[in-house]
Amino acid sequence: MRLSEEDRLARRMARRLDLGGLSPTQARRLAEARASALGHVRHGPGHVGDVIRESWLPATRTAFSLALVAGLLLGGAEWQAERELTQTGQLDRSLLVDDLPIDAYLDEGFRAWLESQPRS
Amino acid sequence: MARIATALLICGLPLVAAQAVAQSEPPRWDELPPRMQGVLGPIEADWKRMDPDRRRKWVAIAEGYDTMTPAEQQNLLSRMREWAKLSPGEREQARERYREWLSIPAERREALRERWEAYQNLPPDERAKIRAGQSR
Repeated sequence: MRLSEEDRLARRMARRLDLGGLSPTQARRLAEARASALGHVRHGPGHVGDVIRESWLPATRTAFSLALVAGLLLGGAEWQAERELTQTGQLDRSLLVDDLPIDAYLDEGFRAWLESQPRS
Repeated sequence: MARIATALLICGLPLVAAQAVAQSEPPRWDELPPRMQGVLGPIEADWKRMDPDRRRKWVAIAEGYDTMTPAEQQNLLSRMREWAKLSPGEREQARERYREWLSIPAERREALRERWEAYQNLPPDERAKIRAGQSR
């Protein structure tokens, strides 16, 4: 297996650290760097939860908002259509049970004749 | 973008399902209760050709049948076939005229029936002349 430049450097550093003889300052700085690196791994983007939080949650939020708006528009249109249907149904019912037959509403002559008659 | 589309699909599915339920087909003739079939009998032959909205309207009208006076019930039964045979344009014209005449004061409106009978008693050629004068 061919090692990358980074891997070779890491091995050389590991061998050097195995030999010991680090000053307290070097040891402290190494410990700090390790802690920082581990902290980055823990909170980095590699975890499934983080992937969901960082990439899927915003998408889901956007999609939910869009779906909500679409739902409201569809619901509003549906409600309006239903309302018109109910109103027309009520009007048809009243017209059909009224004293006047349907022909009276369709006969243009009747309307003209009515208008020509003196009002009693 | 693909993520939004996928999430939109997931969030939108319940809405589409709800919409589909709301838009469910009105009943077929053989699914109507026997009582309603009895009321809507005069338009049974037209039922198959009616669009869903018209069927819903007839169902709503038939549901109120028992609350009508006997005279209203008789008017309804004798007119529904004629009404169902009209073109959409003619039905709209009748509705428009009905709305217009609803605004006539009650006492004059009650006399409309007598006026209609008087108009019907005019000689046919006189009525034709009046209609021709209108269409000119």
